[in-house]
Amino acid sequence: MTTAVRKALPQGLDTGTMNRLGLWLFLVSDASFFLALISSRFFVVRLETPEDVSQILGLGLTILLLVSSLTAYRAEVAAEHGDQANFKRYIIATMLMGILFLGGVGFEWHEAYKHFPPSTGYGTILFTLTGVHATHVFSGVLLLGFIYFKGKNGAYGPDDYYPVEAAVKWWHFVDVAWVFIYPTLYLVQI
Amino acid sequence: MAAETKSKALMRGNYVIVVLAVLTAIEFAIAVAMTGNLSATLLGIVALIKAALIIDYFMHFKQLWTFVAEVWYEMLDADPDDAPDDTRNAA
Repeated sequence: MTTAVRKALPQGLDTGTMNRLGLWLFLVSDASFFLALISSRFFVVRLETPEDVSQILGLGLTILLLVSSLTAYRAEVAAEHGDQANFKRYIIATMLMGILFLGGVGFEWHEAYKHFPPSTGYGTILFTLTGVHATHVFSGVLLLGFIYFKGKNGAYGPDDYYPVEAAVKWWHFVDVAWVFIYPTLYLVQI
Repeated sequence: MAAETKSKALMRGNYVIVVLAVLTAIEFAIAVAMTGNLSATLLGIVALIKAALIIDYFMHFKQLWTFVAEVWYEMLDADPDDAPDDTRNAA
């Protein structure tokens, strides 16, 4: 079937173009999933946010993810310019920040369970949103790990760095999702 | 991004992260200073600006239009006689 689809496409299109378009389509479809989850907060608990929500932790997680986006971007720039040392350095830095973020979410869950368990309205929203997002972060860390091990011996160069670009794009997408989740869970107040 | 020099690309990343940090500080200040619908609306606007920065500068959103245009023009230029027989006779 794949061959039939490929034959039906205009012959001048290269695989890179189709890969990139497909990735964008996937990201848009995943964004609609997050949009539905985020909007559910305003239906379930409207603008109510418990006082026990840790603002410091929320801000810390946000800073961590934003900085990780910069390191991911730098890894992509390094791969594009054939800078192998910096590619490896920034991919590892991004993964470490992702793991730290997951640890922060784990701590958030531990604390949240005491104050607003999943049986409460706000708890339902918090555990669902952070849970789904953390799963995305985890998949991003795995993807970056795969890219690191495949690219550490110079598999990606200036002419062939699409896998790095795709993994980094996924990481930025996860960051964009958090940009909306952060105010939704932590900052909005009645 | 291909034609861009490395130092220029790195510098652009630095600028973007500084603006994102400032916007996050503004976001926090809004949450401290006000509540209710106005606060929620302003927070939504700031989040949209932050997302736009990441999507445009880090995810190279502009390239999407190049790809869409490329696919579109290729489809317009495609010769129907080049299509494989199995797709034309599918119905």
